[in-house]
Amino acid sequence: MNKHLLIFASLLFLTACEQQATEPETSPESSAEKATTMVPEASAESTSSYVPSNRSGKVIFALHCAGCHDPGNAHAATKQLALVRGKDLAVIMQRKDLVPDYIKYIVRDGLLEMPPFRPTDINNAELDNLANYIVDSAKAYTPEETK
Amino acid sequence: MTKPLPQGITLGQLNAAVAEIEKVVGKDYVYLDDVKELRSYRDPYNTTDDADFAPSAAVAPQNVEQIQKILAIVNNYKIPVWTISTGKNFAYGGPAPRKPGYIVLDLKLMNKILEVNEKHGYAIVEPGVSYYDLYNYIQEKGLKLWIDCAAPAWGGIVGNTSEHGAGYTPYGDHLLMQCGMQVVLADGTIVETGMDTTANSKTGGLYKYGQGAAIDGLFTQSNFGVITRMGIWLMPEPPGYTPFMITLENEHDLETVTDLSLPLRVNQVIHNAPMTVDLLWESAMSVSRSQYYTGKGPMPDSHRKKMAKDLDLGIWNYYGAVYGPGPMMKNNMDVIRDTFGSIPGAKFHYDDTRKGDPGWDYRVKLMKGTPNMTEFSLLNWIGGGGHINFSPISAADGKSAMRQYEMIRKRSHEYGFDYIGEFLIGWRDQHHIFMLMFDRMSAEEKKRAHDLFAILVDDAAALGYGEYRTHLSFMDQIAGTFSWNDNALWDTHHALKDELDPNGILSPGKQGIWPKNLRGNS
Repeated sequence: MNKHLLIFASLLFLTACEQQATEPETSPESSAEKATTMVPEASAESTSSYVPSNRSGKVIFALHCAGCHDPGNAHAATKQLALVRGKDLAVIMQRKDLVPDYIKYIVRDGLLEMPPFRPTDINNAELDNLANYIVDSAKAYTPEETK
Repeated sequence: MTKPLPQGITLGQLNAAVAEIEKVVGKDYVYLDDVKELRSYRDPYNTTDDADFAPSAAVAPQNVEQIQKILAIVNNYKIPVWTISTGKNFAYGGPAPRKPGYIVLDLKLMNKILEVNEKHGYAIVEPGVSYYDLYNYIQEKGLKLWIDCAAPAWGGIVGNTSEHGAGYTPYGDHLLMQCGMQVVLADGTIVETGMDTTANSKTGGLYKYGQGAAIDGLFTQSNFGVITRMGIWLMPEPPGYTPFMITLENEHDLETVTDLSLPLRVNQVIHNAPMTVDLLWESAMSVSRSQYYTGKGPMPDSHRKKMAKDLDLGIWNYYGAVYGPGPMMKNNMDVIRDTFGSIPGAKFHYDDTRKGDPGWDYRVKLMKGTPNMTEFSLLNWIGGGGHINFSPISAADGKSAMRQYEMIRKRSHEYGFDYIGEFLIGWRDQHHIFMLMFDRMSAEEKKRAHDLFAILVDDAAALGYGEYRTHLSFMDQIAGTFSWNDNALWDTHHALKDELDPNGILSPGKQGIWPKNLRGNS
């Protein structure tokens, strides 16, 4: 099916290339058929050896949230929250008023300028990780003036 | 909420198909719950109603074999799927399908970076790989390569390239830099394009055209197949990089700066795609509209001038960059300074004085392919985020640019909206992006924005301009403007569609290309 995987597998240790988060979709041996075959009838069995990712809240935040929610006026959400809610509520990683269920709802549904995030962007387990990460980070945050 | 259904499909048929698809991908990767999952597949910024583009389900295959099986199932039931990859596609419809009830085929989980070749400068990626993913990979490996990303960097290589997206480094014409792809056709056939179709190909990432008809473009902005892998050329990290900005004081300077740009661009004195950005776009990186004006309608000139002065910006703000060894950059910058310095009031800006300004900083990052999200600040301009982009192609010619600008500004003011826009000089053309921002909480304003967009399509067509990309709502209208010789081009698209996808299952209506069973019903 996928001769690139064959080529790729043989080059794996010779070049800098590397699989990213997931395992190869099928082993080279089982996928060595010609590339132009028609599809078989859908069988009852899933063809996936896919292992769902379970990235930490920190990793998810960096990938999907930090671009807009990091501190500073280069970050759209932080800037807008400062304008409409005041600077104490501008940085979500410092906010003690957010609870995990609220964060999870907003991530899936979006809010005003913020778009929704799909379960393929952030799966449900990762969404738990993310919500807990934000809440825990906020709990641990001490404002500058009280340090 | 009632389950939206594709035209002519019963709930029983949909449920039966979904049950079969669940067996292929696993229940965890079929999304049916409107509140918990499916709401995230809507376009939150549309100008009509979410229900117009509400999918019945979304499915996330993890490999090509699963895609083949899904297509076999939906062919059997004649249920349309709407293919998306990664990134957001906002302003153009987001992940939402063209019509209610389609099943979204979400390729985000196919996210492998299959190869990055440092010597020859290319990557081969699956559709789920985002700009952040590829950038982070290259940084972690310490490879001396740059990516060229879309402005909001959560975009993806395959999605952006197949939508004809543009970037800001010398590799900014993404489709030009695409090299080889793997496509699954509606009947499940897997096709490799370019050199990869030879046995044991060693040059798939190096030479685009193979032998015979080069068909890669057929699978972009279309619905003839599902792209499952793509090669993209990457720029070797240059020895030096000099970004610059020129602020211009007058509206008519757009004409002069565009005319002066063309020879520098086509002769590659300026190496990347220079951008002429209007005052409001640029200001939105630092401030919101309400900080300068709280009245209704477009911001008056007096307020605009105050904002320009406060932020040290021009009515137009021109960005470009040169790349390479020091002496080469110096020569090019001398030519650039001599050329644009002739415009009265033109002022050059560099890192030494602008660093820390969000508008400058994010352009500096984009022109070297460093992903960031600063441009999303545009959504703060009036708040609420509602936006849709009107994107006509202009000649890289001063009079043409002014004609488009004046036409759009006049109409947008007439309809009560700010003109927020930028011109990006590709080679001989300009992408003119008019960002139409509206209050998405106001039904009246949404309708007014929708009406404005529709009339702009007609106004532009009357002047001889067409758009390079558009929102779901306007795909048919814009397809109708590409109508020369009694719609010969779209008849050709439809002939291909009918041959390659006789059951009309792949993204019906994408860019105004409809399968025969739905033509005339749109």
